[in-house]
Amino acid sequence: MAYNVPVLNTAKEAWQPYALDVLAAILGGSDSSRFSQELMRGQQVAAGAGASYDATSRLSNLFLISAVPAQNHTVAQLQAAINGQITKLQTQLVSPAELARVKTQVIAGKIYSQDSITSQATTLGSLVSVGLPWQLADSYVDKIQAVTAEQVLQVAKQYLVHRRLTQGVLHLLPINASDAQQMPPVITAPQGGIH
Amino acid sequence: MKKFFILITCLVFCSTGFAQSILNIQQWKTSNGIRVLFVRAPQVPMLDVAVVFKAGSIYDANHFGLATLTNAMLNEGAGQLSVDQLANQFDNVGAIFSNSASKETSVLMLRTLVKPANLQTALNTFSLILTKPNFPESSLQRIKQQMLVGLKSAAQDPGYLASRAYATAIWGKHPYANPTEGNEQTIPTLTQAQVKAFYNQYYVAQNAMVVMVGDVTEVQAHVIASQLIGKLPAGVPAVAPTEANSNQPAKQSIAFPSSQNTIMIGTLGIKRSNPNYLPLTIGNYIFGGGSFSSILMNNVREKYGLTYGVYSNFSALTAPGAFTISLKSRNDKAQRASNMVQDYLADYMASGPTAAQLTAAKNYLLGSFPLRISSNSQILSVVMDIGYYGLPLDEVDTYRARVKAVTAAQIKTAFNETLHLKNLVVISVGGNGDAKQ
Repeated sequence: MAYNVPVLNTAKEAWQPYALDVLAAILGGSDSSRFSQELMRGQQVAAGAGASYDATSRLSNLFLISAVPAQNHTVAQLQAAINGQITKLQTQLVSPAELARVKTQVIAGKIYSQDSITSQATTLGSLVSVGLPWQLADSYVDKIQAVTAEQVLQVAKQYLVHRRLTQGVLHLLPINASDAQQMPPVITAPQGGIH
Repeated sequence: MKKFFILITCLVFCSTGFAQSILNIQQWKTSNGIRVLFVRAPQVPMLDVAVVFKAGSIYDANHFGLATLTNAMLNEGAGQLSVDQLANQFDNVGAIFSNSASKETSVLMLRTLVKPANLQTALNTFSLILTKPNFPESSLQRIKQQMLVGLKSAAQDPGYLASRAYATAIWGKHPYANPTEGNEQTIPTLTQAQVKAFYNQYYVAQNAMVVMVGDVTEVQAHVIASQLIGKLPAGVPAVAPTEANSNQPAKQSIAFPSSQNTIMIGTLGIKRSNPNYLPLTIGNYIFGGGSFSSILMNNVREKYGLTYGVYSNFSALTAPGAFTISLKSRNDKAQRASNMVQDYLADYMASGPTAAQLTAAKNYLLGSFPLRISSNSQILSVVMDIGYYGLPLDEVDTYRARVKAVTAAQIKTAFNETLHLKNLVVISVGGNGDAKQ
């Protein structure tokens, strides 16, 4: 599920990309994220689920949610559960503890990224290559620290909406050796949404 | 960044005068007998800890997937904490926990900040997982389901099918052939009692090693190690895998609806402690390990256009692992590509590398060497290898001299002593079910 959202280069409100970053971490960034706690362990509707967002692109980018249904669950059930999590974020403020946790993870991640020369070069280079000042890398932690629960709710409400959504479903087809001469149609079928 | 320059400086000057070690690995044993290796890296305020148990899938017996399941269950509940609470505790302090199982080992890793409050919470949580897991039944069912979902998806991956058939052909009944991820028959039968028994037998001090890299002092590192697993019972060391001497030749073609063939070719290879490890890995770099500079890539891809990529490698374990060449090729070209790879291998074994090929390989390996130990995570994995396979602590310091000393004749001899072409295994999975070589 891909939602078209603004990035550092295109956001009208400068705080929004940072709020979207926090939103992605709350939904699916780690073992304590909502997808892990609610969908994988709680309802056990997903065998795996994640969310990602990259604010460093030249034009608006995709807020990406990807998930695999657990055994004995349908794609429709999984989608309903994901939508339930999105609705919750659009209507209820995240708790101060959850927000603090996500921010700590982001800040720790920033420190960990200093371990790799390659990742430091990538961070600076990808900012400059899309026309942004490399100094943004230095203010990143402060900008994340400044994100509020209201802002997270606001970007969820404004951007995780149906008209921004493109959805693809990959169906596993049974493998049949007698089909060996022809390729099965491995499909990504958009279902609803406007691209 | 700073670390990189320190390394460069050391590589330039260390060999000329004073004998300071590049990594300066410290080593000791905890009071309950666990081997600890530590490298101080004060550049970034963080610490990486890896705890390695000899508790991989070779110990599954016929309960395939048991080692993986046990490993995955460790953070599903420990002490008084539920899986959600454990995850929250790590994430509250920005720590990253990960676990994985392989053929021989079960590895648990922690990356944490060294700020005292963060460090202490992360270590306490990690210690609970290592020493007080309680394997709740509800989690067991969920993880078994997840493993089965993973297998379903793997069954659609010709690479997975090829590697399973290849492992079976190379190792036969040897436990290296065990499917680490389990299979559809065994996973549903695995029980909580089996998981607990596996943990009690293999997650013991005699079977463990701790490796730490990061911004703590050696004194702190001593405290951390004993605090983490100083309370593990001594237990009994796991039996090392037996050593196979050779494999049976095999040719197998598996029908699969794809427009290309996934091909794996090879024989039994070497163990990590083989004295020819370095000549073989350098020789392999020249033959098929070196991506765009390798003989295989230059010919099968660049000259003949039969593949997008072709690679060879030695997977060296405690006992002999496999030497494997892998490639993919269009169904109607697959036979030719497979034959060609086998011909190049025979040629290479007959003639060995040229002087120019050897010089180029050495230049690359020596020149890129600092970059291969430029981050804490890279150092961690190098030191894990040193510790696990019992390599000398100065392995990294002597690397350059050892590489320089390897000759083309050594490589040729080592390849011929190691690989027996009459035993070649050829597996192909692809869009044509006919028997092919």
